[in-house]
Amino acid sequence: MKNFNKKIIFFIFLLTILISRNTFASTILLKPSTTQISIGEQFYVDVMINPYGKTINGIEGTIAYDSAKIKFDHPEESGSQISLWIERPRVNDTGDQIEFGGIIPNGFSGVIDPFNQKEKLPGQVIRLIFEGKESGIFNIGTANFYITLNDGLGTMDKIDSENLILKVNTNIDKIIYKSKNITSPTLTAEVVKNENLNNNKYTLIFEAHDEGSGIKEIIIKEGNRNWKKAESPYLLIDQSRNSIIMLQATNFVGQSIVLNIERLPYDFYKPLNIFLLIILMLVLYFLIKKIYEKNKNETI
Amino acid sequence: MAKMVLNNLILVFIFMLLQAPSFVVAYQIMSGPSIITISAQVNPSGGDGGGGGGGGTNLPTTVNFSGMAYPNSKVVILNNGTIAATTVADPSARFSVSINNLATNTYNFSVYGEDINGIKSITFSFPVYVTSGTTINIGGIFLSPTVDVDKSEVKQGDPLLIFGQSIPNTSLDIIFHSDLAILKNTKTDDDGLYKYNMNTAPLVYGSHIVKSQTKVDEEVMAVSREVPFIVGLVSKLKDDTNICGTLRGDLNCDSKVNLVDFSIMAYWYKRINPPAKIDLNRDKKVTLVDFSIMAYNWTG
Repeated sequence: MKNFNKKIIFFIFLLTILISRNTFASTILLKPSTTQISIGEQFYVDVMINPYGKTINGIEGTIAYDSAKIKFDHPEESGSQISLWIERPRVNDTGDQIEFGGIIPNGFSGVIDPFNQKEKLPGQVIRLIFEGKESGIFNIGTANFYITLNDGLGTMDKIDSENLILKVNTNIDKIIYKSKNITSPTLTAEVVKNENLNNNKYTLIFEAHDEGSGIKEIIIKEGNRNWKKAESPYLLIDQSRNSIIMLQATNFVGQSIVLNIERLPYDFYKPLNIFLLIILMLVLYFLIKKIYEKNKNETI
Repeated sequence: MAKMVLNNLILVFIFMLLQAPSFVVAYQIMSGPSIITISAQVNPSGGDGGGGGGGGTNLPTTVNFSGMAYPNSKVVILNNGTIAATTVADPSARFSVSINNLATNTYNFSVYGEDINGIKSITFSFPVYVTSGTTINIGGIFLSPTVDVDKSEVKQGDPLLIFGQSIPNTSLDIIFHSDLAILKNTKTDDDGLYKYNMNTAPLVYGSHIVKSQTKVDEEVMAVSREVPFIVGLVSKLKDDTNICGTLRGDLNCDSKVNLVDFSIMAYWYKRINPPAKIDLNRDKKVTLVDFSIMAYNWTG
């Protein structure tokens, strides 16, 4: 009888765990490309989300890893459900956590595979590429993950955490990760002025995408100035808008796209220009007058 | 005997609970704006079908969308938050539109309509795994009716005009959420337009919301957004010139919620004292919650 009661308690416990996991919480999944890594080998971990029937539209989170055993190489954003990044994936100051955040416009409730519609599939949040550094067992896990529901109110929802245990072997094998799809990047940009953005100064906003390897870098050149890295929204140095702006996005396989943003047409009727024109006309008038008088005196 | 029954019972329950996610997802698909059907076929020229997917980009790949909007109304298809196609519904409110030349990847498609007054429907999302060389048909999309009111505040007892658009000649419920829900029924005309003059005498002083739902063959097909109004001591006509107030997240007042608005909000992310207009949930900081509200109202 005692044993029977224990089983009932165990059954209720199991029921509670399973119901809470499957019905209420969205789940983050970490899917590694391999579990046995060589020193020098690049491998990836796909951070996936399964909303289990809910519609979510925002994710913010941190992935913690053992920086003594592996080093973070780069993120691949191309297959991500996140189309707008609030914070692009980056390593934090302590060098052992990757932070990121972004939104999915109009929401995400799981991927539909038209050839197998039995259930919706998890969607990729980000692919993180690492490299084996030192042999030993290590963890990669989620920390401080938040998601928001697509309900118009920004309701925060709970999310289950996930932890991976992987191993770096003692053998050395230099294997570089290469993206399967090779596509060309796309780039859109617009110069805007808004009272709530950089104090109503000219600001360049842009968005680059690459469905294959993802965007590695975006650089900008204003007029004769040097190329430099840029992040949207970008406050233009030349606020007169008399410089041609060149924006270049490069993907991880080295393909680039360059966008030229023309300067503003010269505004002839600006008050300053009219003033300068009057000065110029006066100078010309006096010059001509002086020459005329000089010629007149010489004639006399 | 009891022990054996209990053991079997535990196994059956565990099995059922493990199946729970797929049950929930299936329900979500069927309980959408209507009975949305998704079908796929491999095009004669190639393609591999299924969930795997090759990387070929030369094979014809098409996603077709079809359904019901409002007569002669604009229908917009977004791909990962960017406008991918627009079309105009025919006089009977039917629309169909295609997106071509897609590579193998997961795409987050969204659909919304805009009625004769520029009021937008609820946006429906379809994250679909597209395999190169296939045709995917997403049919049976039934856009939610639009709804608006003529007064932001109505004097108790004065009439309140509720209006909007849906499919032509159909039964439509108007639901007032007060202390008790009040349901009124009307019908759309040949242009899908409807108007209803509500006697506000039964409504108590304070904030209320109204929404509408379309019914076809006694079945609710789609439910609109909720529109707020106040029952007070005076009647105030709605200020249509204040377009910023109608779409939360439209920070530059252009009747769209897109990359420009996202960039303005991103500029204020983690900055102190954001303007009230940017801080959508009024908590004096710009966080994932504000971005989530923006993502819900996204128009591209």
